[in-house]
Amino acid sequence: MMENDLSVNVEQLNSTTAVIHLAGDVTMFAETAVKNAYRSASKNDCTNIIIHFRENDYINSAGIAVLISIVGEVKKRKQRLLLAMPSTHFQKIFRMVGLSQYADIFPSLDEATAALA
Amino acid sequence: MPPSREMRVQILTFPNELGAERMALDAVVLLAKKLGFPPERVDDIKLALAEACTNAIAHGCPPETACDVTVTVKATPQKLDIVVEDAGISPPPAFITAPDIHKMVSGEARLGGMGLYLIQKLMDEAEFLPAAAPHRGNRFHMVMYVPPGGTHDGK
Repeated sequence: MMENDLSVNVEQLNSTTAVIHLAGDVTMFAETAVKNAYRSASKNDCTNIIIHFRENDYINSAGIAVLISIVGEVKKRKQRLLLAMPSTHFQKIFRMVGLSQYADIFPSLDEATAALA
Repeated sequence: MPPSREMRVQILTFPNELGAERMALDAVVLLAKKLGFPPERVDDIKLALAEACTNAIAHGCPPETACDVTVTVKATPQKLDIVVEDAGISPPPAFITAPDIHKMVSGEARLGGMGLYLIQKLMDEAEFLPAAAPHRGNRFHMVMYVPPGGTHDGK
């Protein structure tokens, strides 16, 4: 089995907002790292969680399932989920599976943070 | 009849290990770019093939058993034609349903089951073919057409 090729970092933007930066492949191998990052981002009672993807990253249906599990947690905690993704391919796929009904999608991190201002 | 000069046939075989499908993805992405598909459609083809390969790896072999997945690609100026074959221990689903994200979010439905749905949405054609012979495995067939001029607007 191949190793996961994903880097995950959490950035606390302010008292209410945390950003999870993803760089690499979001597949089934990403599950533990992404869930741990979400828990870390939610530690300080953040009400806004932004997941930030890069332009050339890759996601498959198993990676989408990981994000749907995060949506379930976000809903339970009554947080707002924002997805910042420059890739129009990602945006299309997320709309196809219905993720856009649970998260606001923006083409950049700047636009996602601006929406919270 | 041997393939014409306009047709490139690549047969790629890899073990049923998640991640091993990468070489097939890379090869098909190269072919798709050469055919003139725009980047957005190349991404569609890559994801569709990744999902078909993942299904073959996950469901095409008995657990803890080593077997192969084969990807056959035919590229012509008109289309990219892909067949993914596995050892076929699980019969293909009778029909493909749209995922119910609301049930997945609420925990009423298991996470997953989106692969075939995405393939069907992303490719121009997608179907299981009859087995080449009894008990010879599943064959999943996908096609993406290249319009004249080599640009493809997508669905």
